[in-house]
Amino acid sequence: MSSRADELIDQFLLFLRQSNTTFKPFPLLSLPPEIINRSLQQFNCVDLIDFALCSKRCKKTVQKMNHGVKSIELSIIESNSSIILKSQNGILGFVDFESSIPDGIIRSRYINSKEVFVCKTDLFYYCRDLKWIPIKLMYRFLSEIFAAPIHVLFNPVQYSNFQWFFNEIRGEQFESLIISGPNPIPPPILTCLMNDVKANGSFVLNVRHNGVFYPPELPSFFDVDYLEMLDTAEWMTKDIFLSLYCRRMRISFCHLKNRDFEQFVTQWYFSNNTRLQYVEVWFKVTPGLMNFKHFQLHRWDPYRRAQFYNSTPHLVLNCSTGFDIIRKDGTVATILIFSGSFHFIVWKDRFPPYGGSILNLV
Amino acid sequence: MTSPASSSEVKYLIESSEGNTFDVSGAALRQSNTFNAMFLNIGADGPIPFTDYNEATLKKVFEYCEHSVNEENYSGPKHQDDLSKWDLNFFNEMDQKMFIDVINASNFLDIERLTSYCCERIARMLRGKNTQEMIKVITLPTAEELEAKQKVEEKKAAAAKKVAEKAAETAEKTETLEELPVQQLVQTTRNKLTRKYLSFSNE
Repeated sequence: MSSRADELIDQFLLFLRQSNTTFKPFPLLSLPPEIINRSLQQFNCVDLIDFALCSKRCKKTVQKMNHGVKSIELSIIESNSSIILKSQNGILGFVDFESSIPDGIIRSRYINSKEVFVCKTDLFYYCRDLKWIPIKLMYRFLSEIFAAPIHVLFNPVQYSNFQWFFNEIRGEQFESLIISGPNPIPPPILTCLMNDVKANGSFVLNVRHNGVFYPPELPSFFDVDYLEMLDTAEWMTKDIFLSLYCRRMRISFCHLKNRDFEQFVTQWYFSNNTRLQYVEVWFKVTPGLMNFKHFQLHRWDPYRRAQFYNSTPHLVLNCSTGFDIIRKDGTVATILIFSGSFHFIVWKDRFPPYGGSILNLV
Repeated sequence: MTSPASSSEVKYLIESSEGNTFDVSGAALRQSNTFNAMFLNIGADGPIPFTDYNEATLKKVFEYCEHSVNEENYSGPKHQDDLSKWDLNFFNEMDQKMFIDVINASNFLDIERLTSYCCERIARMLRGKNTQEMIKVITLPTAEELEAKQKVEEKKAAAAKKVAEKAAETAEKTETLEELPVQQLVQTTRNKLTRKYLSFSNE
């Protein structure tokens, strides 16, 4: 019994000694860089933010280390906007701007010479300012220290509540911009998104708009990697359609005519465009009979290319009814026309792996 | 005494910065990747010099290695809470200076397990703290200290400038002093030569 008591006392004394040592000053920055990096790798992202705010050298140390942050996601939703720090496998931390702060000490911080009030608990970093939501300040700072691409997910209910956000992101560049929501998007906001915000990776607009909308001559998304506009592209003109230089496009609710599609295919055929891989256009109004007889059209040959193609990661298209055209550089493309949609596939890999549900189109 | 490590019973002699030598078992030493890369295959004649580290530090490091020889295979960094009582005692016995020396030695010797425990322990000092507390722990200078340091540096720079100016002045003076005799010498030589030439031409 007494040995057990001694053991407990020993453990308690150890704990006391240990807790005392943890608050002693420790010259971390004078240690070898490998040791600093390895020690910081055991921090969570929220602690790394605080560490980067200690000094310029600390900030540089965080920038150079392997912190695991692969993307910064701005989640803009009604009364709960936040920034999510993600690794390849999951979430590493949150920067919260609007939800209620749990019990904790709120402290003042200077981030890029601007004062904000912060509080942290576990993986959450609560960031507040009395007058505004300091989202731009934070995503810029996080982008500086973690050097990760920024993705914007915008899902509003009332667009009028987000005027502050559009003022913040005007003139900014992001890796991807995804806008969705139950209510139609007002034309001025759509104009702002197409004129003043640049997405490099993907631009996804899955929200209807209020009828009359005049798009800019050349929208900022014309050269994104992936373009998706479902139920909203009534405004798409022939000029915009022909100027698109994306890798993959999925557009619906279009008023494009048969000649626009013919011209699009002709433009690709006589170009050196090696970027384009897939185009999917769903019609709002039937475009009329398309004529591709000026090309040498080939029926599907199973030795030339595969029968199935993944139009999305989960949907497979049966391309056996399509006609192939072969460009002068040998690239094979397939034109698929159904009653409600037009598909154009450029076979980078002529026999790609596929998987998912097969689309039954007629 | 030293030979290529073929069995765990082989002992190696280690030399510290003080020039003292002590024995370490081959099994313990083989936990050091630096040692493995340098001596394992070729062996070592005489004591192995680790003269950047003192005897106490090296003994502490190899004490850990000797202890962990019998433990199961190392599988990634352990959380501090999972450390055994022996491990906790090992770290708590050290003062800060010794701890830093052990980290440096462990890093140089590339002892994976000890280094990762040390890093975990460092992380524990800072984890969960806010910026102000972190600044205190990692002993970064405050704004006032930085200002004072800058003032001292400015004073030093001003003093150095003054010294440089003085040195330049004295150098100029010495140059002029040195130049005078040379000019005189040239002049006198020239005069002598002229006189000789004149006397020769008269003859």
